[in-house]
Amino acid sequence: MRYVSTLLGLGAAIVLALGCQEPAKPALGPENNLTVVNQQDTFSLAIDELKNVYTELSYTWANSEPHARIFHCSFLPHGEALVVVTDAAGDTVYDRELLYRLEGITAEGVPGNWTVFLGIYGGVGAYVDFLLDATADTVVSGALMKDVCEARGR
Amino acid sequence: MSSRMLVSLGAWAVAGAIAGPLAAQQAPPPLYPVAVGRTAADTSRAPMSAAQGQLPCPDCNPSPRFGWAVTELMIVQAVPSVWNNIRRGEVWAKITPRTWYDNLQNAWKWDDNAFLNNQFSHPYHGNLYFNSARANGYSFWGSALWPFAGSAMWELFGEAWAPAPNDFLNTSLGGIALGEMLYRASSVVLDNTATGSERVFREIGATILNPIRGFNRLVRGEMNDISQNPPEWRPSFVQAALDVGYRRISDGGATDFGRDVSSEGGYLQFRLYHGNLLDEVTGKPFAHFQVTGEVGSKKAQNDARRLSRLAALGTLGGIALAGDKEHPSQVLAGFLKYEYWSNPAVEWGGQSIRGGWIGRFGDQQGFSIQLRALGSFYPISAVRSDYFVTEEGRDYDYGTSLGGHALLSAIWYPRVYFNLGYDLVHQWTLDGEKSQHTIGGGSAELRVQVTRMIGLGAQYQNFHRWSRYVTQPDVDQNSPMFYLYAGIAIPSVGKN
Repeated sequence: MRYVSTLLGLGAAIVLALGCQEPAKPALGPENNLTVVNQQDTFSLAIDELKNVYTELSYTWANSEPHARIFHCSFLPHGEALVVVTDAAGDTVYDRELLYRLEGITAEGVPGNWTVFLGIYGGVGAYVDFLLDATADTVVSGALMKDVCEARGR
Repeated sequence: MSSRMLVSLGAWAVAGAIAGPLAAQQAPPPLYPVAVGRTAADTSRAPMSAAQGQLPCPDCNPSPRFGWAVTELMIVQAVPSVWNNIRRGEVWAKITPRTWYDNLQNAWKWDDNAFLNNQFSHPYHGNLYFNSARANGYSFWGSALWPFAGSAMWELFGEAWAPAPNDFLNTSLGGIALGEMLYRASSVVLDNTATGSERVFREIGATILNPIRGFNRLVRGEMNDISQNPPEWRPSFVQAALDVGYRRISDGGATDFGRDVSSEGGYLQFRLYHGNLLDEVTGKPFAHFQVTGEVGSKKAQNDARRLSRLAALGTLGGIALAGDKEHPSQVLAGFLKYEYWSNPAVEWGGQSIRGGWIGRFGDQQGFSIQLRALGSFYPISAVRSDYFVTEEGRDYDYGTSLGGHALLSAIWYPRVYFNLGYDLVHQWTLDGEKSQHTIGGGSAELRVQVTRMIGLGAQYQNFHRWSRYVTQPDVDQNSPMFYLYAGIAIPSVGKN
């Protein structure tokens, strides 16, 4: 009887421990087809088929210009994807949620090694995709956005 | 079809078509601002002729056609879905069981579309859901559930975007207000006894106002059937006015407000009053409604969208407090209101339920005073934000609001109409920049009928917005607006 009680107590403790534990947050897997193109003055990142993804990614990007155009081509109906860009001095030059179609430009920064950070929190959707281009004209017109996204197959 | 075209076409269709049958009523209704009085000459509905009385009346008490209603609701859903999926290849229109599952599993999200899209296009689409039922024999209340069902269906299963609470509420509540207004406006335009070219123009006008009803009449062969007009198609009173004029918005003072709110230019305004407020308020919903549409010139709108104002206010019910039961002089009344207001100074919209006291004093054939004191609750409202701007086009904060509205109208029938009002609405922002907004201000309008048809008028409105932000500097905006116009009354007001 004592043995059974001990077993029951142990079982209950395990159930409680598992029940109170936070569920595992799915990170990126091979099915997400993470694609990063990190070149001097251009940087792009794409992730496909996000199903409740939680991840944080950070890259060092060589940028010889003080600005960079950014093109959002993401379709993430649920959850959130944040992109934060910091310049060579460590100052934030861009910080916002990735959207379906958006063309923007970073604030002026110090050329050199910039940092591109992407945080995805509970992301559910077909793809996350964005492009940073420091060689493009700094005048944001919105005219290129559709072409850029379509060229990226989005 | 653009919103500007819709308003213009609708305005002309109604204006042109109501002139005939209503002129025949010989009613000398008060033109403006609110039809709260019924005069001796218009105490009865349009008399039915003996010949018309012998005609069948298939529209008098139609049986609900559930299958038709569901089919049309699905068509209204399918058309934009298929168009955006196949023709435009939009990723958000590619719906699968997986997107349905995701939409059911995940939280709803406020969406960031532009003001016109969220505050006009969605309610207009809701009107189509509403009329899927209304134009198939359902009553107002029976039809009122349909935009809720249609909107929920679209948000969860019609697109891959996360369901948006603002879309759901705007589509549902706005769809009811616009839907019943357009249903009744199309009833005024229709005449089952008309023949020839008049009948053709009436059917076209009604179809523009209510495409689902027009489609039903076409496929059922009702467009050329001769039959009775149901009594509710001919309300006790209808008055429209079409005004054209000059609008000036001044920058009367703003703190930390970077936009250019001043503008001037031409505008076109259409107003329609359907049913006598005090007499109809205890009757069926929207037996009394009033609608105002305003389109500004490109210059007046500072190159922005031309639709600058659309408001539809309809009765939901009421209790007579004084006067006789048929013609009360004081009532407690409830309303449903749709509002869209977008000009260089104002961006404001919402769906509200409002109620309060309305009274009329004096001689309707001479001088009378009409008073209103209403309170309002907005389950969803949107007001321009100074700091929340998305590049999808959203530049406004969403929230829920409470308001108060007072109106004094003095009428020297049938020549002079004077309106003095004050409105105040407070919004608690739920999505956007963390804030609270209070908007409102006083307004005064004078309209003088030079002839039975031609009127001249002027309106002054002192618009204020007081925005209190949690993390950003507060903004106080003061934008006086001045309107000067000439217009025609349709039909002409009482004989001079």
